[in-house]
Amino acid sequence: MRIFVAFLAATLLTALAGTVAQTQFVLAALMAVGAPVGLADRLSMTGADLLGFTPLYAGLIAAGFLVAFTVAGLLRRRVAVPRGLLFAVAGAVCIGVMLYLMREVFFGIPLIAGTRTTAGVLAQIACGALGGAVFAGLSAPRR
Amino acid sequence: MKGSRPMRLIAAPLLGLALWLAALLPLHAFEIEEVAGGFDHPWSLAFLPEGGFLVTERAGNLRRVSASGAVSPPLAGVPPVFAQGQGGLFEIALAPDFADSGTLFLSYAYGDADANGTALMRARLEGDRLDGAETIFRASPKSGAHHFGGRMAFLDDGTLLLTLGDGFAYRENAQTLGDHLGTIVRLAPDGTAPPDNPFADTPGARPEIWSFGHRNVQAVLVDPASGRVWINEHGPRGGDELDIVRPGGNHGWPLVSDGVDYAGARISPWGLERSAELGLVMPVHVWTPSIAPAGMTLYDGAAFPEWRGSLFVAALAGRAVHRLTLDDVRVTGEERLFTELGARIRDVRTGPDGFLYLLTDDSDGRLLRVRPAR
Repeated sequence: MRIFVAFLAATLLTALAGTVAQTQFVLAALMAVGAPVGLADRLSMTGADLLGFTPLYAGLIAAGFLVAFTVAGLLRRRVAVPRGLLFAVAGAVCIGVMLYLMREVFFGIPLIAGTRTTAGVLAQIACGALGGAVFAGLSAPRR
Repeated sequence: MKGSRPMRLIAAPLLGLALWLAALLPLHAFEIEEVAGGFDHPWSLAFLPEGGFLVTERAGNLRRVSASGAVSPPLAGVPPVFAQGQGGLFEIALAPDFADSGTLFLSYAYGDADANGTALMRARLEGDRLDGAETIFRASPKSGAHHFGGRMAFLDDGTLLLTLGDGFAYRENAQTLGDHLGTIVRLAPDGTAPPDNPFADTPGARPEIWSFGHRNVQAVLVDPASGRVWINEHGPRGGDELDIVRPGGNHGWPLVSDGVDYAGARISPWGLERSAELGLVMPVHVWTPSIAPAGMTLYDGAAFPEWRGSLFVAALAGRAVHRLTLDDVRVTGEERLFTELGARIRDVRTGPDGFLYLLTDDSDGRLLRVRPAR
């Protein structure tokens, strides 16, 4: 049960943080061509993306984390790496691979517009690492 | 009328109903017949003055079709094309003086996966081959294999409009004038930029650009009566548009759209209602959910008098042809036709005989004729 709650929290955190990040990258690209984006615009679009994009993203992340954290859990016994670091790396790699596969499967089309730049991809990977770290912390066995 | 009062009360409305039905029945009495088949994703159709057709196949072939439907082998002299994704051979357009000069234009995708774009070739049709072929324009390159535009129309002054696309991953470039992404270009018949183009004197702007802020323009036509230029273009998920284009216009992509990204994220903070405030051109008509519009024709034939003045819009994902009735620049009605085909429709044209001609987008594509029922 503790693991389930930790998994849910990690997935939601990565999905929410990832959404907010991708929206800011999209806004930055619009502003670079002169779009007059104000604070109200930024807030409304971020909110719209949290409603319109996060559910799908969370579903994808959940599927990815299921695989990644299971693998990390199995590796835990063999590798002398701090628990938090191991799951953070698992989360990061999971998101990186997921974004790569999405582009390959969809004929080279970047489905998530906020990941068209290297910085955008790194931001998502960082959110994956954060999710992994949170999972590690919340699912740690109590002493 | 003779007869008892109750009979008259029944008979009169019945007679009226019968007359109304009689007037209604022939309204859309048409039949669809196959002219030719077996095309590999046919993209565009041209009518030869002596009868017969020219058909492009996206994979890179140009074929002649006789009036009786005999399909020729591929014509020699067609350029090699980048046939991946949405790329390939696109539009065939006969020059206004084709009957004398034999000059025609082909739009196609040039390049490779890393650097490609839309190009325009001019050539002469000599029997079963193209002679004197030369590429007269290349849009600025991009990577990926999507959003090439590719449709053409001639203005009264002999210049040519060629529609382009934003290359999908470069949507913000539709707002910049330093490259051709997301624009419609106007070219002289030799491929150069006419000096009276709207951005001919703008520093840093490509002089060929005629309008911008487009995503992927899949039809362009000029109304000969009014001179108006009509286009349609694909939105992302939702937000397909019908627009009237004027020189220098900014059609708003990606600043405003009625659609969202395929994964559900917003394109921008704003919807179409902010167009005027942001100095952008509002569409005349929007399709959400998307129909994926393709070729388009303004019907002016004699075969279907009730269809004169209507716009017919081919739909790929929509698997139909949408007939739009117009009142000047307003759409007053819309109906979906030819849904019984169950086919993605790539092109719809008005033939010199006043019949409608369709191309289906399929690996076993067909050229179809729509004629009044006999």
